[in-house]
Amino acid sequence: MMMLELPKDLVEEILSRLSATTLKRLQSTCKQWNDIINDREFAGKHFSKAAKQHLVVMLKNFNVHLVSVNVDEIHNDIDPSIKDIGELSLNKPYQVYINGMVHCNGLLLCITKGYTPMVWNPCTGKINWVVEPSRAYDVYDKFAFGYEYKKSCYNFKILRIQYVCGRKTHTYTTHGKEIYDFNSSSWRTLNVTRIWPLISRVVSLKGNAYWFTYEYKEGVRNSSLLSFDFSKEIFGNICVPFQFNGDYLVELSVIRENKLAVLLQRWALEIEIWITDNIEPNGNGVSWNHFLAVDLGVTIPPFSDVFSYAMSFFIDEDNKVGLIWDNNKGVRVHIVGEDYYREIVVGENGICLPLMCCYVPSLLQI
Amino acid sequence: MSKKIIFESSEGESFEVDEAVALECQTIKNMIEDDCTDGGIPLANVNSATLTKVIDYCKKHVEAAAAAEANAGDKDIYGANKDIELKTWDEEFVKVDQPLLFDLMLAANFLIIPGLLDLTCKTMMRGKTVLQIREIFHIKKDYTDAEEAEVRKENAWAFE
Repeated sequence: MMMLELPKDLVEEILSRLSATTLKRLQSTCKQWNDIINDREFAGKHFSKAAKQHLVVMLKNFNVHLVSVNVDEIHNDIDPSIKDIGELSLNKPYQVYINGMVHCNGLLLCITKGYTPMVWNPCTGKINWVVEPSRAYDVYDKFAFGYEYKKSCYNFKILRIQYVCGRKTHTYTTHGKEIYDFNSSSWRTLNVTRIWPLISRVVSLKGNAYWFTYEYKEGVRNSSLLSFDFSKEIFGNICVPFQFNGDYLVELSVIRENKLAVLLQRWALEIEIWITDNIEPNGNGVSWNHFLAVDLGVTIPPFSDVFSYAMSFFIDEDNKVGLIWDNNKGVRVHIVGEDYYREIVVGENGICLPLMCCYVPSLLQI
Repeated sequence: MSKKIIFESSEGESFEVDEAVALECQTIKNMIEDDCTDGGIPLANVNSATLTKVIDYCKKHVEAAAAAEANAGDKDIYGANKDIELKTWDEEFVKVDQPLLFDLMLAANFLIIPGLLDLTCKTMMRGKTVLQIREIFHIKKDYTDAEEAEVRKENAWAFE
């Protein structure tokens, strides 16, 4: 059976099964295919149907770099490899300096020079700047990124929490909370009670944001895991499976777009990682699984540094290791398992922040 | 004795299959539910070679689903193996020439067999260059060379 022209809906059926990066390559096939791949509705259909590619990106020289990570054969005595593959180009004649990023559905919320947020889809190349808020951006601003899913559309939003830092006391207090809605392209103020300072990165999972915070209760510093529900625009508290005081180091990571992992470093070099795949922003029914517990001080005698607050991490579930990025001596990745430890230096040359996150290419548009 | 359904290919050849196998096709399922399958189902745009393959696919997947159900009690490793076996079978199944693969995809789309549509689409597109794809789909390049170069430049995804 020979057909000269396929019906458009069949072409869409076929294309919606291919990865986002393959589709980028196929845009030059013909005008019809190019139009389909650039179509907003198709992007949504593609996002729900296509197999996901799970990639890793890191910041280097204020650009986003793609990194290849291979730890598959480590338990067969083959060295892990982590390599900087190269920069994901912004395709702009001018340089955009990126200081921070949060990943959500193939979009990166990037914090650029001047603490200005922008949303970038590295796969399609589209960039969305945000309308200036009434109060100028500030070094102490924190941003969360997520969406409200309504009528099979992703309505992306940015949460901005403004802090002021007391010069004498070095304590942070919230100054304001506002939310940016890409549908209306405007900021509006959120009326909520005080939000305590952050002590971890902000991550985005299934459209909602999570981060660790601390507060003083009767003079004692308590830490807790906070959530922000971008649909209802409310904050929530999430139970964690361990007791911890505010001096422990905690960090969050999103795994394969469906799990949240928490890394906890207690005194000395004891590291614990917990994961959950059923977290909801209201905190109901969350159950944590113990992933890893290692005492680096015991298993790896030369290891002497505790990780810094700038670190980030992710985990490889198949090989049961945590990969911890830190820049206490250049950016190093510490690969940590129950009876496994290796260090790899990545991005030796250039200015690297120890910030990596998982990146799943999509065609989604704001 | 299970009920039989009769398909008729574009060449007029008849194929008798168990109802359970025919139910793998959403289009046929709807027809069976509407009770309009008596006297056979003519498939004017599916030839005999393609129909033979489609029926093979549906049979295998009905058997695999039945086997999986029977072994539901002791799932563990055995269940996982079964899955791998079906995957391997699928991979072998689509090792056919390009025109037949194309026809299988069209048939899967027409008969609405999601698993087969998925399998054929992915197999057909895997590792193909733009030129090969134009050939398979009989697509005429409608860009000028300059336009094509521009689209390529704009959409260069550096890492694949």
